Order: sequence, then structure tokens, then C-alpha cells
Amino acid sequence: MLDEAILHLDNITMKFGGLTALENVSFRVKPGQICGLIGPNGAGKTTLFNVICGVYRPTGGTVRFKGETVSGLPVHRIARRGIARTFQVVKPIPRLTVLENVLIAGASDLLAGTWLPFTTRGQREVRDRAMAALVRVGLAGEAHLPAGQLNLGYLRRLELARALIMNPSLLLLDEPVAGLGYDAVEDFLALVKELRRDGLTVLLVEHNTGVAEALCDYMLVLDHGRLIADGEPGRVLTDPAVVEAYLGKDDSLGPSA
Amino acid sequence: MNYWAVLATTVGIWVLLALSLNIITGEAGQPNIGHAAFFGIGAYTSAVLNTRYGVDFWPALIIAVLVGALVGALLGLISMRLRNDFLAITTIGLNFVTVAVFQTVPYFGGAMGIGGIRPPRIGGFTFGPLELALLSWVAVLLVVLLNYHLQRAWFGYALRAIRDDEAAAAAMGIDVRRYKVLAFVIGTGIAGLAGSIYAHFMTFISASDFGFNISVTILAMVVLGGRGSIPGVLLGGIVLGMAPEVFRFISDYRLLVFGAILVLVMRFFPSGLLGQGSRLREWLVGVFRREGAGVHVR
Repeated sequence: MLDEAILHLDNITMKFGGLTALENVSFRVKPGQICGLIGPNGAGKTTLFNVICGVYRPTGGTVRFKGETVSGLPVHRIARRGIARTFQVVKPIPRLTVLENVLIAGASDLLAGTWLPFTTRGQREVRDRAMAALVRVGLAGEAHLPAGQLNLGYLRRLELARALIMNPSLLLLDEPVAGLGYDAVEDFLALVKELRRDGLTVLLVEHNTGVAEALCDYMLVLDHGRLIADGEPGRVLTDPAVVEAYLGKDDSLGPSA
Repeated sequence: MNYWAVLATTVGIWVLLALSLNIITGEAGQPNIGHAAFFGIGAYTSAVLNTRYGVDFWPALIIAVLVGALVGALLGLISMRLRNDFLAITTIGLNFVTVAVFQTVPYFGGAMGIGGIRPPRIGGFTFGPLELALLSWVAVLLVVLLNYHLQRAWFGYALRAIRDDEAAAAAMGIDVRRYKVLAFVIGTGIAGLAGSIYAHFMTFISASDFGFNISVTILAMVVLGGRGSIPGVLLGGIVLGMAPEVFRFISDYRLLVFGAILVLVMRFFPSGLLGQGSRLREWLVGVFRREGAGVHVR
């Protein structure tokens, strides 16, 4: 069983000029897991996401998805292969409606589909799938509002719907609950758990260790571009190296602390 | 009658140019301040074919569209590597280079331009001013229909996604490069069409007809009407296309008035006269809704 993992990162290094953002990062994500990627500000979490999605071509190492190397492919190809993502700063197309936002991601990239209006028969199926994705994230009632009118919580759901309509095998969520109120966070976490129950694999960047602990089956900790710990959430969060990365060295508190 | 037919043809050609630039700049959000280059390429292609090789208007028209689209594809391929300001400057440069080539290369008539271009004909019938006006507005109608079709198809949605956020578009599986190039190809092909009609309508063309000031005027039509709005761009093309005639009486101050209108529109209608979110558009929509509702009640 060489490749039971769905996503396989092998010695990923990413340099921007003289700055090393990621150094020899290797890990696997198993199918059906919610895998959390945590770490302090500037640890390289979003950079790692961008490498997986193809926004950056890694300076060294390979990304394999379902056994095939995807590092080096353009973003849209990787997306079509089944890695969908959301953004830390939401990116709706504000002048289109919520439904249209989802339709874009759902339509086929084949030449014939490109030129047909959404009202024709072949494209109606796409519309149905878009609606289903909106129902799933609880946005069906807002389908015909311009995306620019939604609040942040709804926009995060919109991005999720946009990812879901692409039928991904792996979902990358970049700080999906950042900036949300307490209730909205609870709702969103429940939604992600539901998706996992349906068999989706999730890799999640999270700043807040509490949220990550509540949601994840497995956890990776990044600090200064290196993977410093991985494993069960309970064990990882008490790891001295992780505590140090988040809080600083213990001896600075003095012997009496 | 002839005066009106000539004016209608001129305005029709302007509207074609505005609509074609709207696909590139309004829909796909790619700056192009050198659109007159493609207008000129279409015109010169058609003129050279007609005067040197005796090719009739209709086949020359088709070749002019293809040549315009081909050069547009090249620019589109370049635009993958360039963003916003850099692309804008490249298009300006392209405009100046094209004009310089037309002006200096003897094959293109040099500074004398190309004269003696035959008007379109069908069988033994040669087009007069009236038929030319009809031709240019039939072309406008076809291009408007094409525009509406593209806007409603996935292609149009993909372009708008690219315009608003390239990173999001790519993450949704859209091949950003392919659609940028396609937008350029379609837009510049239509500009080539406008050029061909222009050449056979004027029967004489010279490089200065396709200068940078023409590019700026086309862009102004799109911005004035409202980027991405088909009725808006139609209106922008008609208003600015007729402006030189309407303001004939103030001759020397024409450009001054022209500029002032643009400044005022930008101040009070930043998204263009009929662009999304414009007050004029909302007011019009409101009026039509109320009238429609009234009919319904009765």
C-alpha cells in the first residue's frame, strides 16, 4: 500500500528570492480525513496551500494527488482534477448572482459547453447541480441575490458551494471561519463535519487551535516554513515544540513560573 | 438623404468598434488603448486586397476579420505575461507601430494612403450611401446579437470572473489564458470587420485614420456608456459618434466640449451612463417596472 494517501507532499521547498517560505515539508493526507494545518502567523500555511493548488511551482519537491504528480500543472488543471479550494480573503464575483457564481465553477470547460447559454438543455443540468450545491450549504434562499450583497458568513458558504459543485476529492479550506461570529462558526463546523461524513477529504488551514482541535482527525504544525509536529490533535497541541512556537520559550518565564 | 446615410454609416462603424472593444475591456477587463490598430489592420487588409489583387469586398471582408483576429491572438498571447498598466502601454505601442508601418511602407501606399477602393457590390449592383448605411447597421445588429449570446453563455461568465478576480477564476477551473486570448480574438476580429466596411465606404484611407486619438475615442465610448453593458456601449457609440456633427456649430471648441462631457459623466456616472449601478439605469428600470405593473393591474 504505497499510496493509500490521497495527497502526498514530498520534500516541498519554496523559496522567494533569498527567503525560504517552506523547507522540506513532507506529509500525507489520508482519504476521509479532516486534516488541520496550523501554525503561527507567517509560518507558511497559505504558501503551502498555494503550492498544492498550483499558484506557485515549488522550488523543490513534488506534490502527488491520487498517485499522480500535480506540481507544475496550472491552477485550473489541478482544480479540474479534483482539488477545490476556498480563500482566506473571500473572492466572490460581486456583480453576478449567488447562483451564477456557482454556475461558473460547475460548467464544463469543453468547447461546446462554452458557447451555450445556461438556458439550453445541456446546461440546465449544470443549473440543477448549482442549486443542489447551494441547498447543501444553506444558501438556496439567497440564490438570486447579487453576491456583493452577502455578509461574510454567507460569502464563506458561497465559496464552499463553488468548491462543492466541482465534485472535488480534496477540499482545501483556508481559514474558513476567520472573522465569523460564534454562531456562524458553529454552523460552519457542523457543515464541514457533514461533508466529511459524505466521504470528502478536507485539508484546513486554521489559526485558532481550538477550532482545529474540535474539527480535525489529524494535525500538522508549521513554524518558519518547517513541519515541526504532526499527529493526533490532543498529542500535537501539548507537544513542547508546538507550545514553544505559539507561546515562546518556557525559560523566559523564569524558574518560579 | 445622402447626408443622413453617410452619418448613419459613420456612427454604425463607431458602434461596431465600441462593441468590439467592450468584449476585451468591458467583459474580460483587459485594458486596450490601441484598439484603432485593429481597425486599421482590417481596413488596410481589405484595401490592399481590393486595389492590388482585385479581390471583391465580400471575400476581402472575411479575410480582414481573420487578419484582425490573428493579430489580436498574438496580442492576447502577449497579454498573458503582462498585467494592467503594462498591457495598456503595450497596446498603445502597438497602435503607434501599426500607424508607422502604414505610413512608411510603400506597399501600404506610404503617406499617400490607399485610394480607389471599390464600394461593395452584389452582382452588377454597386452599393450607394443608403446600402452602405444598411450594411453597417446589419453588422451592428449581428454583433449585438453575438454579444448577447456570449454574455449569456458560460464564456461570458468566465470573462466576468477573470475581470473581477483571476485567482478565483483559475480556482474555479477556468483556463484564464485561453479565455483572455479568445476575448482578444473575438474583439479584434470585429474591429477588422469595422475596418473593412470603413475602407470600402470611404474608398480612400490613410494611416492617420487609425491613430491613437481614435483608440482613445473608442475607449471613451465604452467608458461613457458603461463597461460591460451592451445597451450602454451602443448609446456611448451613438452619442460620441454623432458628437462631431452635433457640435459642428462651435467648431473650434468641439474638443473642449467633448472633454467636458467626459469629465462630467465620470464625475456623476462613474460606472458609465448605463453601467451596472448607474443612477440613470436604475431610474429607467424603475420607470419600466412601474408602467409594466400598471398595465398588469388594469
